[in-house]
Amino acid sequence: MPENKHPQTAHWVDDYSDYLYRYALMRVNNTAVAEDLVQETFLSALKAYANFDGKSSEKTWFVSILKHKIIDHYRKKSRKAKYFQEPTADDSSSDFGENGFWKLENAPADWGGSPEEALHQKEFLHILKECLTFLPDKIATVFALREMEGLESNYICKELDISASNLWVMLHRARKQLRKCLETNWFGSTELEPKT
Amino acid sequence: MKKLGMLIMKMMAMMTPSCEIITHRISESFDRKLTLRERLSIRIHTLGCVLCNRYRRQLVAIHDILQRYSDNGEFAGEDETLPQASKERLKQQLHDSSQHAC
Repeated sequence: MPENKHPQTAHWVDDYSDYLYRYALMRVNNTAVAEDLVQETFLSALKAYANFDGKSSEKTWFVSILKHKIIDHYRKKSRKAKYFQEPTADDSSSDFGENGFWKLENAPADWGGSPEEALHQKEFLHILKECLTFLPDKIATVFALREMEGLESNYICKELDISASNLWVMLHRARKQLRKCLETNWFGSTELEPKT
Repeated sequence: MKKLGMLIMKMMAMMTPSCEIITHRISESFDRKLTLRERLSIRIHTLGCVLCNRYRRQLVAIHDILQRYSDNGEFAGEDETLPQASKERLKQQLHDSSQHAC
């Protein structure tokens, strides 16, 4: 237990704000929202400081608060105007012909060697991040909750009030678009162009 | 002989659902436990369909790298920092709030 129940907050911002900001930005893709989430995290931490048992590091503690803030953010968004319930338009069915088999011009290209190797190059992370920002908002959200937060499907469905099949369709589209974007921008050419 | 084997695998793939359905199912395999029948359909299809097999491997690779980096705040890049003005504002706010708390 920390002896002083009134926390020394002076170093919080200098030590953790950039980390938390990046963490949030990865998941909400909006600088203003990310900044608000960091602010809310620190303020909640201040209020809850008496409960901080010091078993985990301050950083871990802040991240766990931030995670809750991020889910809250999406939950609020989903309640507004049934945000997630509208099925999103699918522009990717054109990858397949009428028989449901790949159209050759849209088929996955060979990434050369093993894809795992390619994905370990440092510059690749930059492209991956850019590609994540190109995903449509709703799809990016469920993808972040599922793949980055590692939340279970049924938990996401409950929090965002959507059906499981709707969730799986959105995740499928996210993966499909992300794969395509990586192929075009990393394995194809080095030019990065947003997909509109 | 090898050609015959390839032909048989291709024919088996043709008997499974289409690539459009298989790609959807591959994605779902990350999100729910597939039935044995569904898992087998993917396995058989990807044995004969080089494109879907490629798709599956690429999705697995992307999934793995996201898992590895998702808990790492550095993933977003060193260039992303909170603007200095925002930091000062935050510090002031925290300072004020902690005064009230006392």
